[in-house]
Amino acid sequence: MDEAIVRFQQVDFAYENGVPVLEGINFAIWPRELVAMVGPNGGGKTTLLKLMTGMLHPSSGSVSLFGKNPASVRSRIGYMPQYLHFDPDFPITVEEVVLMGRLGRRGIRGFFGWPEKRDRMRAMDCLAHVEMEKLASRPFSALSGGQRQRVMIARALACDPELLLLDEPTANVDSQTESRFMALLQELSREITILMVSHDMGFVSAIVKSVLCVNRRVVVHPTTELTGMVIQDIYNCSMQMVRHDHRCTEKGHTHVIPDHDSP
Amino acid sequence: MSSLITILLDPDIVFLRYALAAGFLSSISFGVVGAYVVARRISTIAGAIAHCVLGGIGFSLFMQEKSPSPLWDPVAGALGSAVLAALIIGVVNIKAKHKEDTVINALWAVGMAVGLLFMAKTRGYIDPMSFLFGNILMIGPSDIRLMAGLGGIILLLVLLFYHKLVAVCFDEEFLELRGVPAHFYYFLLLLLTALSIVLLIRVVGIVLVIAMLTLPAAMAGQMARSLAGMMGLAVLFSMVFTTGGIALSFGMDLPSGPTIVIFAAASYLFLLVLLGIRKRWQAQDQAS
Repeated sequence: MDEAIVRFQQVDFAYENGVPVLEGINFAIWPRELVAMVGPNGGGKTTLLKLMTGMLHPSSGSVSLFGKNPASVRSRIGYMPQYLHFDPDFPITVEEVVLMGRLGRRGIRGFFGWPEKRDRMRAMDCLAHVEMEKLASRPFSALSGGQRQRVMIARALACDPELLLLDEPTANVDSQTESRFMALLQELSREITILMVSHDMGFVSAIVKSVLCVNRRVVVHPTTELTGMVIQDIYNCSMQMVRHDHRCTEKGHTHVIPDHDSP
Repeated sequence: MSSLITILLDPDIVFLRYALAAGFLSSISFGVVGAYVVARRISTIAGAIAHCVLGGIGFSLFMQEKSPSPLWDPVAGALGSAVLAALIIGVVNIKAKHKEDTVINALWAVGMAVGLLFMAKTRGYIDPMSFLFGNILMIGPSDIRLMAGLGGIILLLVLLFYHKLVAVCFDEEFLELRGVPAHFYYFLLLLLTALSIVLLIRVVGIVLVIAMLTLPAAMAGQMARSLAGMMGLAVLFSMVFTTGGIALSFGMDLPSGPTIVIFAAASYLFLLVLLGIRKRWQAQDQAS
């Protein structure tokens, strides 16, 4: 069997205040797996991603990426952070944002960060994947929330990653783009490993085989086991399941929201 | 205006030509580094570095009186204190970000206080006003050479590392994930800011340098679609403000630094009003 792409062994993590965020985490992600991560806000999803990228270090236990220390192989990751991470007024073009995914290459131009012709071609290729190539010269600040999200996905793809980490990739994307994005992820997962954080259970269960359920601890479920009871258990409160039909895919999606009326 | 041109062409009166040359040279740093300062929103950091410079200048003047040596040149003191302040802020940003605001404000005040204390204990009269508000009309050939040298270093570093500096301003975490030492480029950005401040203090002084680092770049930011475009426009605006400010101060017998800054601030306000009116018209057009 192939070597695990990501492996967590008995990992505990707490921030400086000492409150444990993650406890006794054990799981592995295998090559070309498409895995979703779900869980309530503050449950440790982003912390888990940061441990994977080597931006944070476990309090105890070990994390390995491609069998090595995550910090030493992080350039093999394509990472898309959460939408609200950026200054929306920053003066930068769409192409420049995607070209950031080409930083960190070797060679003299790579050292100074100047893109080559092939980097620009790759950036345009990635923008075409998310149907944004016609807006390459537009200022990033002039785009809608959904368009910015797609540019961020293109930037993650421009890294030519072996592992793609997506933190809520469809949070601001319309249903039509979401279904195209779903098809893109399925296509990409034939060659690379993908882990994405999502609150949209319908979106998740339609394309992935296993789900990492994170709420201080991690439980790995096959998607067939994602029943209402399991979801309620993950989010630790009563949930409403809102079913919405997407005409473009002719598939029904189930979105999970906390049920504030319930005790 | 005609008297200004007559004086500019008079071979015996050189101070105005030096002032204009200094204005043009400093505009490159105002525009290029100012664009990073505005885009990365580190104008408070730049303010703290600028005020720490007075500490370095005061220390140099004090030491020069105690044991005269070329080592205690006020420019060297300014450069040393600016770089030291940049390093302290950079380390605090990385190691204890939650304390960054306190440290920045403390450095701001302590830098000034140290400078004034050293100046008070130095024999002879030292006027801190020339350091606080600058005097572009007192600039000589050695200042021009220093400005050209430091400006050249700043421009070269920005040209070489433009894309990495843009990335560190836009998304530092992503740069780190690409295997690029983002902290190093953040320090480089602070160092460039420190160098620019030392260079620009002769033009507008410690107190007003922040205005010239931010106003032209903020105006350019309203129009540019990329950081390179913002830099180009900001350099152009700075040249207009320094030249126009010098001409105004000469014609109206006003101090040059404050006149340059007021000219820049009035232009920024004018642009904001124009943009506001345009936005209103566009909204009315859409509604109708």
